Amino acid sequence: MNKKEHPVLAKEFIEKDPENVSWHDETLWFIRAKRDLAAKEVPEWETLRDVAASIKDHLLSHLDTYLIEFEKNALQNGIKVHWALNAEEHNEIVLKILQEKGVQKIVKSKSMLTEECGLNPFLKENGIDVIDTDLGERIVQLAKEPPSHIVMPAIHKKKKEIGEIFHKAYDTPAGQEDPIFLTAVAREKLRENFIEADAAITGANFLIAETGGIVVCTNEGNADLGVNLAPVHIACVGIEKLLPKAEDLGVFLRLLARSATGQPITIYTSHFHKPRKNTDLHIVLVDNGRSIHLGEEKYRASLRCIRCGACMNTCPVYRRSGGYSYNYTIPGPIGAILSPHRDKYKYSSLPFASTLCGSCTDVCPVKINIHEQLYSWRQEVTGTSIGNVKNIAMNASTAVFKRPFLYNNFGKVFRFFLKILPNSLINAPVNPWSKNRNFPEVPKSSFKKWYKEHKDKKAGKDE
Amino acid sequence: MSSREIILQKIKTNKPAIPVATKTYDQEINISNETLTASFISKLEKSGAIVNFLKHDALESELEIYAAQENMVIHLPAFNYIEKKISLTSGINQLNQISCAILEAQIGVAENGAIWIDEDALPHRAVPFITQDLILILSGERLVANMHEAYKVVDIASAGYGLFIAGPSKTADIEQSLVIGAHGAKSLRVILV
Repeated sequence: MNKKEHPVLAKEFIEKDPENVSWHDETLWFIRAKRDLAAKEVPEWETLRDVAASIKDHLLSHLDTYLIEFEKNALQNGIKVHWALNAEEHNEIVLKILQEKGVQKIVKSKSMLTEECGLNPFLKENGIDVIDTDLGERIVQLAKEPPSHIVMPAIHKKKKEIGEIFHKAYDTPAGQEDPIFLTAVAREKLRENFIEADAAITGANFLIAETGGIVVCTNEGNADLGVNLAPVHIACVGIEKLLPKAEDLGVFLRLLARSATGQPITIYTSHFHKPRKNTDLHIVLVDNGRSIHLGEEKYRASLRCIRCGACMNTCPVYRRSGGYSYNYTIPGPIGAILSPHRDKYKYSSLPFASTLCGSCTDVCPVKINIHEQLYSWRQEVTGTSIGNVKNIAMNASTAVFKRPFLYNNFGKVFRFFLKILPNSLINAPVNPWSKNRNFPEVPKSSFKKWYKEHKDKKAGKDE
Repeated sequence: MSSREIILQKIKTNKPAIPVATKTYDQEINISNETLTASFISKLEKSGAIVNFLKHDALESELEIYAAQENMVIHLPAFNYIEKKISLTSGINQLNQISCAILEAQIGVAENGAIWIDEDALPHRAVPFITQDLILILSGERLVANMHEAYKVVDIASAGYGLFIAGPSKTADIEQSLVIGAHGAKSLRVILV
C-alpha cells in the first residue's frame, strides 16, 4: 500500500500517541457541540440551509454572467481584477503585482486558496518573505508544517508544543505555555510585521456580484490590520465564492460562523469595495479546475462549499485520524470529495476514509450531499486500498453464503473452534477485521436454532 | 484567448443546462426594542464586550474625561465632536500610538451583537484595529433584529469600506483556550445613547 494513503497515515497518527487521539477527538467534538447550540438558537436554521443551497446552485448555473457582473462593478470601483486559469498562473500574477511594486515583506491572512496554489513556497523561491498572521497559521508556519484544519490550523497542537515553538522563534521563556501570554507575544511581534509590510494578501469568504465587492471574516482582525496599513491589497479567491446579491450575505453570514465555531458571527466582517486612498486593491479570480468540476453533475454540489469546516468537526474519522492523514490541502469529508477532482489516483484512499455515517451532510450549511459523493467516488477511483487479504476473505464468505448446507454447518464448526482456539490464531493477519476488534461472546446456539425452538411458544411467557 | 476568455468559455460549456431559480428568505419581524436591546447586549457581553447606557449630557462629561487622556482619537461627526484628529494621511507610526479610539456606529444587530461602521465614520480604515481599546457610540433606537434586516438598512457599497464589529478581537488557536485581544482592539466598549 502506498505510504501516503489515509489508512497508513492514520495508523501512524494513532500509534504515535493514543491518548492524543482521544484529546483530538474530544477537542473537535466540542466544537461540533458548540455548533449545535448556535444552530438551535435559529428556529429557521433548516430553511436557511435550504435557501443557501439554492442561492449557490442558482449562482453556479449562471456563474459566467455573475462573474462578468462582478468584474464590471469591481472595475468601476477602482479594483483591479485578474483571472487565473490555474495555480501556476495565480502565483505568477501575484508575483508580478508584487515585483512591480518592489514588495519585499508581506503579511497574509488565512486563505485556503493560496494553500491550494502553493503560494508561500513559490514566493519564497522568488525571494519574497510571507508572514502568515492568523495565530494558528503563524504557529504552523513557524513549525514548518501545513495547516491541519481549514479554520483552526493548529488544532492538533498542544500548548506545550506551541510554547516550545515560540521559545525558539520569539525567545519566550522556556516552558511558558500560557495561551494568554503567548497570544500577547504574538500580538506584539506580528504588530511589527503589520507595520513593516509592503503588501497584504488575503483570501475572501464571499464576492458580491451586484456591488463588485469582497467580504472577509476574521476573529483576530489580522486581515484588516494588514490591508488597512499596507499600500497593496491582493485578494485571492476561487471563482465559486461568488454570491449574486448583497442581501444574500444575510443568509450566509447567519450560517457561516455558527457552523464553523458556534459563534453567531465572527468579530469582524469586512466589506471592501474601493481601494484605500492612494493604494491598490487587486482581486485574483482563480479557476484551477473549478470550471471543469462545474460540468460534473454528480459532484457539482460540492462547489457550494463555503469552507466552514463543520464537516471535519463532526467526522469520526477526521476526529480520530487528524488532518495530516488526508495528505491534501483540505482534509476531512469535503477534502475527500474535492481532492479526487485534482488527482483520482493520488487521493483514491480518501473517499474510503469514511463510515458513510452522513454526519457531514447533516451539518453542512449549504446541504452538500457529502456522504453520497463519497460513495460515488468510491465507485470511480480504482482503489487498491482494500488490499488482497480482504478480497480473499470476501470471496470465501460469498462461497459459503451461497450454499445453505455450507452456511448452516460452517456456523456450527466456526462457533466450536471460536470457543477452543487461542486468540492469537483467531486474530491473525488472515483476519484483517480483527485489528482493534474482537469477536463477541459465542452464543449458546445459532439464532436459526433458537427461533425454531421458540417461534411456536405463545407470546407473553417469559423465556 | 486570454485566461478570462478560456475560463468564461469553460463555464458556459459546463454549467447546468437548466438554470436553477433561487429561493429567497423573507420574514416578518415584530420584536420590541426592549427585546432587541436585551439580546444585543447579551450577545456583545458574551463575546467579551462591555455595554452601557448613557444619556446625552452624561456622554458629554465622559468624553471630556477621555479627551484629557493621552493618545486618544475621538471622531464623532454626528455629535459634532472631533478631538485629536487622525486623518487619511496619518502615518503608520502615528496610528500605532493610538491607545483608545471613540467612534460612532450606524446600526446594531440584536441576534449577534454586530455593529456596522463604515469608512465615512472612520478617520482612517486602520483605526478600529490598530487602537488598543475601542469605544463605539450607538443610538439605542438603531437596533435591528437580524442580518437580513441589517442588509436592508445598510448599503455596503456606498462607502469604499464598511464592517460589522461584534466584540473585542480574539483567538482560540492555542488549545482552544479563548484569549481576548488578538491583533485588533483588545477591548470593546459600546455606549448606547
